[in-house]
Amino acid sequence: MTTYTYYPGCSLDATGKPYARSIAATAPALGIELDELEDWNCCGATAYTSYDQIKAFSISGRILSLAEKAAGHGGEIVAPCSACFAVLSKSVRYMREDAVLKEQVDDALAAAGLYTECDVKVRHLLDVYVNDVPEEVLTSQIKRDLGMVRLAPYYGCQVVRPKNDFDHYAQPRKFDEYLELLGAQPIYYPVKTKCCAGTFITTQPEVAARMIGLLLKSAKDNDADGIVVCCPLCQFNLDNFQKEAGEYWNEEFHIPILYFPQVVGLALGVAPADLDLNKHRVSAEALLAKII
Amino acid sequence: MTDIRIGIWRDQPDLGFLNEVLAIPGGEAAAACIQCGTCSGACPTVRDMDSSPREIVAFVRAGYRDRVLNSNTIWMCASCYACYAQCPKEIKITDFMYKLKQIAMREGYKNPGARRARVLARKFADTVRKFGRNSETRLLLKYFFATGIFSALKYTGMALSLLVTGRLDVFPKKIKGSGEVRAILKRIDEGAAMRR
Repeated sequence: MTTYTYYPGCSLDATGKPYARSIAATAPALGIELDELEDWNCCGATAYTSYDQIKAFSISGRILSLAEKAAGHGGEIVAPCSACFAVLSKSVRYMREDAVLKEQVDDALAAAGLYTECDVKVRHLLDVYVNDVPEEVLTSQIKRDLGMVRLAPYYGCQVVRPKNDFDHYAQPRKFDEYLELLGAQPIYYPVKTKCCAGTFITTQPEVAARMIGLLLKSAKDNDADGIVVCCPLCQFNLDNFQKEAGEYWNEEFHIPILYFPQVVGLALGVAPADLDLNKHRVSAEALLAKII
Repeated sequence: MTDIRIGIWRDQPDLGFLNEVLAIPGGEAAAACIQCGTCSGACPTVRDMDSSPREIVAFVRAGYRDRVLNSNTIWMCASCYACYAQCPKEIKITDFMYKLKQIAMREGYKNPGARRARVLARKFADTVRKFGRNSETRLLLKYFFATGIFSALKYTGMALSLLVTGRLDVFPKKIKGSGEVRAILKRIDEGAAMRR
């Protein structure tokens, strides 16, 4: 067992509950123990950063400060949400690079009696699943053959951008290879790092319908049985906007959108209901019928 | 179509604006922009913008405050970082967009495309200030009350689906350290007031 300081983020308590449940159902079997950071706050996401830069970095600063206490200096903090991952890793990098910014954040954190060295390493949960679990540990646990299922590996934006050491920013391969290792067929998916429209589903729904439709259409054109994601907002947008996206593109979309731990769970032989696969908007029944 | 000459004629370079924008971490890299347009080519929403990301960098460097802050471009940025990742000069264009949103919001620029984004950002900040965390349900309710409840009707199916699958966080959780979060935010507000 490897223990990680875990930052679930706000979505995993609400729209992302199936993500949380499927993580809980798979991580222990792979030797991953997630120790939730106590009393964490919101990372600020894209919306807070649009509002006030110093405030956004400072509330991230509180998280980093708590993480340093929990994981120790030089330790790691793991986030399952790509937005949390991008915001927290950006905060660490920028505060280390920019002394003026760091001074302003120090001053704000001092008001709450906190301080951060900015020396934790922020990692995405996908990175932990893909890179920290030895291949033989994973393959020895596989109990169900997913060979009939064609899956689109959708990375989205913020797990690979801004540039980081997980994978290439525009042509990543690790998620594809991971699905292959799980026994599924990763499909050719050229839009794998295109944007899911983020918060535009509320602020610019017409634009969002086009952007989401592009992702769905590419999956459909390449005969995907489902799209696999690693971010709760990507899942929400792709799952809930298929009708609007279909109207824009003049197509019918019924593509189930799965979190990657749900696919891991299927391969490990976990029952679909224990992975909350019945809790999405678009039914995954046709996909499940191929393997169960 | 953008006519650069009109911009030159109408806008007076504003050095205060230029310096504030370039002060973001790594902002000085904008001086190295070669206007290649890779950012605009990478952008998934460039067709919805009145000025492309490349033009925005040019206008910022020229100090064209009003032209930049009145454009819908900054509100059409979804923060996907495609421009930033592909820029041959490593200019952090996404971060410039964030900074421009902050200035436009602070100074009350009224772009028609901006209102909804502005309301969402403000409501988000309010929720975090109060609870320490975001509550998606509360955020959306507040957002739709502020922008027009009728636009919420088309989200009814989605809301029902979330409700029956137990994915609506109707009652947001308040963290123990929400007082700490408020103290942090208050300190920043006081600092900003003193600077003014």
